[in-house]
Amino acid sequence: MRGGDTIAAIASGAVQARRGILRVSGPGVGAALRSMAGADPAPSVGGAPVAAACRWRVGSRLACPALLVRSFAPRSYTGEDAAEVLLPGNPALLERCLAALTVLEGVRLAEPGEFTARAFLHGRVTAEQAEAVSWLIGARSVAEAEAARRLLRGETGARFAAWRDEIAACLALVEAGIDFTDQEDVVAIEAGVLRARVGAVLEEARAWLGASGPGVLVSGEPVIVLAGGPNAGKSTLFNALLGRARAVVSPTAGTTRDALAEPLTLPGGVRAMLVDLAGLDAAAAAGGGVDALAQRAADRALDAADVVVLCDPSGVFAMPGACVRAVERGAGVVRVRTKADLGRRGGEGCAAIAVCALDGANLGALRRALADAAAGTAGADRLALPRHVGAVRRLSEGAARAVEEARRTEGRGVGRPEIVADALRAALDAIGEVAGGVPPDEVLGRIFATFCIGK
Amino acid sequence: MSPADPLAALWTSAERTDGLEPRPGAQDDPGEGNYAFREMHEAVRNFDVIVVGGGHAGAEAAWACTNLGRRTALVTLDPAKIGVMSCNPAIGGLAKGQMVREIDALGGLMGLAADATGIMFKVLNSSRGPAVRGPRAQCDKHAYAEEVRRLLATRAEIDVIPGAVERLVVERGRVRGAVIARGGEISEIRAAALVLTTGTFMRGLMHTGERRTEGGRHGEAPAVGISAGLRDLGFELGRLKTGTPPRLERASIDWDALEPQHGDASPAPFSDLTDRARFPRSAQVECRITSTTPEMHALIRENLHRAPMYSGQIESAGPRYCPSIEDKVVRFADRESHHVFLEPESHRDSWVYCNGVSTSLPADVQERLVRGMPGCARAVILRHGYAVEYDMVRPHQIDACGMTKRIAGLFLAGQINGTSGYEEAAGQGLVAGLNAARWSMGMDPVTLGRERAYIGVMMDDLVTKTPVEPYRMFSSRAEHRLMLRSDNAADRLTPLAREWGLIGESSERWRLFERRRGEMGAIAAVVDAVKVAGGRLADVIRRPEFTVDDLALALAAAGAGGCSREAIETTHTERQYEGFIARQRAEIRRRGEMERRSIPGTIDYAEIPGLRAESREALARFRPATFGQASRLEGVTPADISLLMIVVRRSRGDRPGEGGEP
Repeated sequence: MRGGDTIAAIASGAVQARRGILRVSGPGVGAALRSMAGADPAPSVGGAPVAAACRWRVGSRLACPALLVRSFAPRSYTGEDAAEVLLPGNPALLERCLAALTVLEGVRLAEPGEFTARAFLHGRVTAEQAEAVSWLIGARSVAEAEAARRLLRGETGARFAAWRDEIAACLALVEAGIDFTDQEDVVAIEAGVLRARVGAVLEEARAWLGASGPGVLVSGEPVIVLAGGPNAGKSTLFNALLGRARAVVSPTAGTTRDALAEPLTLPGGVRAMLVDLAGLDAAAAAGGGVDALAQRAADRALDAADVVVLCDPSGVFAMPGACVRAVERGAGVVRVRTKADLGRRGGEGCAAIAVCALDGANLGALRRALADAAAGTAGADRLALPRHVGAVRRLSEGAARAVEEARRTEGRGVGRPEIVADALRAALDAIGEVAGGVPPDEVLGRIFATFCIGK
Repeated sequence: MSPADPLAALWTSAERTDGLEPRPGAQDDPGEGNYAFREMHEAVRNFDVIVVGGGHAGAEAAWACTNLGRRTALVTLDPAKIGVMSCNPAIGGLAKGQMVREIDALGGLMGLAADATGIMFKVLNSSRGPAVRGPRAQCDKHAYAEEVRRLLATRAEIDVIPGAVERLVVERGRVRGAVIARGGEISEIRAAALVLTTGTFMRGLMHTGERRTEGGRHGEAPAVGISAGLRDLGFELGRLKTGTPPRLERASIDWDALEPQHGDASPAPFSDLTDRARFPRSAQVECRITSTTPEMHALIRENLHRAPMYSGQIESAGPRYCPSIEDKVVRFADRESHHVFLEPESHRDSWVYCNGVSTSLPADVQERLVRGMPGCARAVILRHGYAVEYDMVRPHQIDACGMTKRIAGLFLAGQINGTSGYEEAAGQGLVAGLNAARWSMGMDPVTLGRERAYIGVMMDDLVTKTPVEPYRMFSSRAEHRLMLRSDNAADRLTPLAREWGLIGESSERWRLFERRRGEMGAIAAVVDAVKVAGGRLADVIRRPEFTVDDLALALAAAGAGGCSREAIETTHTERQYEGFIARQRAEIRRRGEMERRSIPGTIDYAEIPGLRAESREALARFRPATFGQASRLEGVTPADISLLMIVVRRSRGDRPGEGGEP
């Protein structure tokens, strides 16, 4: 936690709801509202909160109707200047709004529990309330760290690490030219070489961020599809995983016709979209009418699947064609022996999780398996947390400053290495926040490994 | 006292039993001994501060104490060795030079001594930006140590006490004094604060090949009892290694055949007090450059089994930035040659320092080795290189003012904290001495922030990081490097020195600073008002191609030509860096309040719910004094800090909303 910053976060839960809330607190709230909503409501007499309708900027060309509740220090939840923005409850939209907000100067993503910590420090909540929140912070920070870790396990993580390493390598070369110029072995990096290397990172980072201005690229949670024959217990499992009776269930085969999709939060904070399908049935597909339409919807859902959950009470796990295609595309597979309470045997050769959705047996194990499978998928990679977007944006800013300074002095060595180093250090610290930091001592370590230093 | 023999003066003062006390306020006029009579105890002598060790940390600590008018005992094994340069007789360099300037701006000793005795001055990186220029001086090693002793002797508050510290006197967790052994005699001295600066002497063990000698420096005995004493008090000790190269007889080197290396044509002093008209005071020298050869590398490889670092005789960690020649040959096997700088050590003897071939190979190998260098075929070694292993107190056990967390009033400074280098030692000595003096006066400790000084960066690094090698300052360690320059050391620190009592209102240093401040203000007024070809001077000055000379001309044209070159340079630098400095300042402001917010030492991290194990461990080990320090500990996340803030506020008595909140 760093005081003095303006912090922002989504205050509503991850589950789809009609309204979502974005919360902002800190000295920069007024400026943020002017930038995002066009105006900062004037304080009321006596300092009570003020509500106002506005159009909240989402992208460079997109704005969304929103309701603004502006509170004024010290009469707010946190005791600071604060605002809550009520937006449509679409998680992707909310995250996009948040990302756009945290790109503003002096605004950053709130750390777990930071609103409450500030509220407590300003005397707005009691110690008992803060105590409860402190437990939550601990749990949430672990969950967030886990979510970030899973995200970084995939392609995104490899890319971030590559950028970080390249920036650190360039910084080491620049620093070597500053701190060790009296060493025979040290050759300062050429401005042109530096510009090319840092420029390459800059280009990739900008491509990753997309071209359409702030707040892009936050969408596409991994899609987990429950698949299996008719009456395999998919909908029962669907409801059990969601923890509520979303799908209609009955002992009759073919009860589910539509593909149902609901957001799901898995252990470690992994978020996914869980999809329930009509039972896969080749005969029904060949027929006509509603049954055939249901089969086509199921095929389409499987084509978008990142993880296929094969549900089969018999434990045989025969794979229908659409599932085979999904697996060939790279989708993960989790095998579940449903209706485990019936105690059927078979399929011992396959690694399968036996689940009884009725009494919850092994549901925990299944959730963990789903989280693992979802974390390594392309879907997980598309899912950039706002923290990551902000970090890459600041990486780009630093890299751009370094490139500009190097361009100015090309052909004359790195003219002002201390300025280049300042920019690269900012870039490195930014990407380090999400990909693991490289402290000054490690940069020195790179220098000592590269050059023979020491008279 | 006779100026020719400052040592005699120190001895006299050490033996003095007349109970004399210096006149208060005597600190700013060196050379005067104006005494008032004082009661004196018979057996136990009382001081305000005891400084143990007369190296660069100890000397600076004692000096700082007397700047605050404190009566100080300087205990050293051998008073003749006060201020000795054990390794390379050079002061300053990149980042280190900035530290010497900082020490000077804080009323310290090192810059004065270096200026008085420098025999080659050179600003490193002089063609680069002002933020990364590092002044460096090679000093006459004999003259330097003598100058340090002379300066200390001007302070009547210092009593030099020869002897070894047998043990520390600690009562109820507080330092009360020390027991000193000299010959067979044991005596006790008392003070409320004690600064320990043992350098490489704590259980020092020197290695030259298979030969091992106990000692902290060639020909000098180690300090043995103190390690055990510190361990008994509960301190966690570590062991480090450092090394030094062989010294050669100058007459045995074919000096004129080798390529010379010169100092700067117009050398610049470290200290603001140094009289420019009488500088440099000593005749300037040249160095020579030679190199190692493939044959030498082969010889080293053949004898690696006899090198203590490779035979397993030494297991402690040495510095990566100052590898022995054995290390260089092994780690950079593809290099066929390394430079060696031959640096004269003094005008008074013919010793030459072999910069680049630090080694602990056996003496017979060293003999053959040095003769392999071009120009050194007949070289005679006056002293062989050696490695020295020594005990340190792991520095997470001190806080940023230098005081140990375990024993109130006990301060540590210099290599005992795992650092390397005279400048690092002196910087810590100053901080510890200042705070020991304040402690003895019942005043709150003071610290320097990372944004304020390299010394602050160093103290913060020491108390937040686990050392893997002797700590040396590099400019890349300072995130606010653009602000921590040698040209603005006085602007950054002299007002603090004044506030902390390190320099007096009527001192020459303060007068010079006020003059500079006036000049800077006058220059700023002109820069902001005047128009020149190409627009407003305030805009033009920021263009990279606009030089200091251009500014001087513009000022002269505007009728403000009388300002010092230094003030013009600093103005130029700050305007050129303006945008970058503004960015750093904004960051510092954002973090400021959080950075300084304190964490009570009584907090029990085991009792905090929700803290991750890794974080709990780091916090419990380092016991950070501020949230700024806590946030820099490895393994501590921002979420942990939020949690800690709630807990700290709760522990302060469930009174939310009170006390210094934004």
